[in-house]
Amino acid sequence: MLRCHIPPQCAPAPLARRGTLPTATAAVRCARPPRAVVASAAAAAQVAAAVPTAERRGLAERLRMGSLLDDGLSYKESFVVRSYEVGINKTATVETIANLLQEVGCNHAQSVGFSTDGFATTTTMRELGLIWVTNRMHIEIYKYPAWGDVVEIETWCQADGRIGTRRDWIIKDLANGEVIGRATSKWVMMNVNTRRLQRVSDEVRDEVFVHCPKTPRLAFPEENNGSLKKIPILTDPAHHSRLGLVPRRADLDMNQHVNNVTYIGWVLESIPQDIIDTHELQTITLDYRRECQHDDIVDSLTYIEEAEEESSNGSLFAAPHPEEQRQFLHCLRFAGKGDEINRGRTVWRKLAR
Amino acid sequence: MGALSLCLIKLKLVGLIEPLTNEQAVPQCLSVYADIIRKASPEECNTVRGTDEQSGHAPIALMATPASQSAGRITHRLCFFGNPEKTKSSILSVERCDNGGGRGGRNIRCANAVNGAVKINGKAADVRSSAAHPVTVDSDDDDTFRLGKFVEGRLVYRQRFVIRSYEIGPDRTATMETLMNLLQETALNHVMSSGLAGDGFGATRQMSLRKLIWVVTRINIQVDKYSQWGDVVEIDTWVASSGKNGMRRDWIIRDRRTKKMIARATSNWVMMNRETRKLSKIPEEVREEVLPFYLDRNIIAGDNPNPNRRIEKLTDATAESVRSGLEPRWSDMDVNQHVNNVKYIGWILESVPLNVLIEYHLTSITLDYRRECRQSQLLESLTTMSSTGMPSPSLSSADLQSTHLIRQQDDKAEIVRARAEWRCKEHH
Repeated sequence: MLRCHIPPQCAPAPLARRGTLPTATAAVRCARPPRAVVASAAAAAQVAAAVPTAERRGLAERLRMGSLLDDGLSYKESFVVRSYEVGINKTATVETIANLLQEVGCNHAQSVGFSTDGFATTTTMRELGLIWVTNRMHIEIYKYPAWGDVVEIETWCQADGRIGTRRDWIIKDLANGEVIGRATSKWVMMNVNTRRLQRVSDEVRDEVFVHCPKTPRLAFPEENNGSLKKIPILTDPAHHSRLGLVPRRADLDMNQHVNNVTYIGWVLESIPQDIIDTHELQTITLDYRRECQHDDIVDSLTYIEEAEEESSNGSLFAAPHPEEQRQFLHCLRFAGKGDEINRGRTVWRKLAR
Repeated sequence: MGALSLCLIKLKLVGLIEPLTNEQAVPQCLSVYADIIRKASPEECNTVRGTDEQSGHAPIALMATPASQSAGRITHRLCFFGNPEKTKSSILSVERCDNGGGRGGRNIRCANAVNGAVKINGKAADVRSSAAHPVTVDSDDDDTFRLGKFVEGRLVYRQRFVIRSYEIGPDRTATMETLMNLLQETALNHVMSSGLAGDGFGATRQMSLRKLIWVVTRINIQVDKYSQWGDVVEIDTWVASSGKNGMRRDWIIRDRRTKKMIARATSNWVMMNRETRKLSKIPEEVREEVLPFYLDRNIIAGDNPNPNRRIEKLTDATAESVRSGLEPRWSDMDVNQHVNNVKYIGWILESVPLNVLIEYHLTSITLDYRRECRQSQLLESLTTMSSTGMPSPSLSSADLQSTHLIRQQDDKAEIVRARAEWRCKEHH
């Protein structure tokens, strides 16, 4: 199941509870039904008008220090970590990193001509009524930057299977070129009218992927890496939880949906305080399943995940992690045992104090 | 070097910090190169104060640097020096360039420029032009990492920001929270670039020695026009004294493209001991530190007949709506383990009726900080909306006014009072 971008044509939330919507397996379940969708030239024109004027773009681009690489296949941008993006550890928070990944992804899309309304669609996509929806996000951070550090993020996208696309990032400390983080995300295309997943047709593929590497390039090339690990359904009672989380207005993005990054914050809400005090988030994986809007109430649940070890006869058994590492599974769901919104996994490493 | 009217010397310090005492490493690690920049007037120069740590000289003359990056900030990579002719003293040095907030920072023993000859820790440096890293610095460009620069001598600090996509709110413009965050960032960079910074975020060296920090008591922001994704804003800030023991900091926000002012703000600060949490007078040593940076220019008070008009304290009886159970998230905390100042705006706006948020622009907000808030507290947000019958403190007339209160849920102790003004969106 997928997170969907609901176009701004959506009606304000009905007070009825979710779960009454039909559950066709191939369809994307939305938290609320859309109004009539306008997928016409008029809409395309409206979107095109949102593209900044050349002058404004030039000014921002000069300041941004971001540009396509020479081969045009990836995009690199540098960011200074600002004071208010830094958390109690005096280092950038994972939400800051996620925000920067999103920003550089948007800027990449914009620089190759995708729309700037927040949907990053091509002309053909708009004509066909197609939008991107996020499926999975996986971020690994090896070293958190501090206030004033400059990080350089390179991003690119490529096809992923028949219906999907992936966007990868590599984060470097600009001072010494050290890789301090990597991330990857999976996206699928959805038809706003039918709300069904749609294969990337050849004409769309040409438009979208002309700017992407032809040979696969992965931020996580190693086999069996964390970005591929499945996140199971969580059925046991949670070890820790934080109930009744409510989206703030500040959590809404420019399309009235809860920002991707807010989910990260909610996942972290139910991590026990002693972990937060003594450990640092190394990896976070989120599977997006449903969308969340302003008047929803969310429960955040955390489960301790034991490591898997192979015993001598080859079967797996659960064992505690090494002292330096803790691992959790997460579930965000609508309050009161409602439907799943996200599933997640986090891995924490002990801080050297 | 004499031929250059204003010379920018960049020391490429990547990876060289540790072996500075190694004689052999010194010339090797100096890819010092000079770039000619525009013929800037001295007023456009950045200034850095420094002391020669080794000889223990008292704070020396202000050193003019041409570019926007100054030694107090991100200086484990780059250090800037100006043309020694512009300085009043014959010896310039910058000490302890570390990046304030990081763990431990990275110390650089920097260079001396003695009558034009640049030395690094006493060893002569080879200053030459290098084509390897051409840097075009024109009057419109900031330094490479968008740090600010001093203008008007050394009194006003200016920095530019691009509005990022995640700083945009549901009505597709930058949020008031974003603006407040950028104001805070500019203020902190101002302190860092002044060479005054101690170990805290914004505290000067003398303050840190005495465990003192600045605490904001009031801030007023007036916004004429909200920016959009990709807009470039330019923020000017300066400080002045406020009464005997307070400081005032003002800001102007300009749209870089239209060059028009789109917002302005003023704030009042007092000094507090960070351990006892008691207010403190400004010690004489701190006053000496900050006095040279004061600029007595008012940006808001001039229009405002009574800028410190008291904000009414709402009660359960007088509030139109109360929203309880507001819980600070752990990401709301700042480095001092307190709820970040800016977050209060979010909570205040949470209890404004949705139709107001959709149909009106927030044109002015004044926040009166009464008490600190630690994470464990549950909070309540009280709101009363009223149509204008009262004189409006801001330039443009307001259609709506509102009064707010954030208080602790258990003992009703007040945390923040606020007053806001709103203008109907169609009026633009």
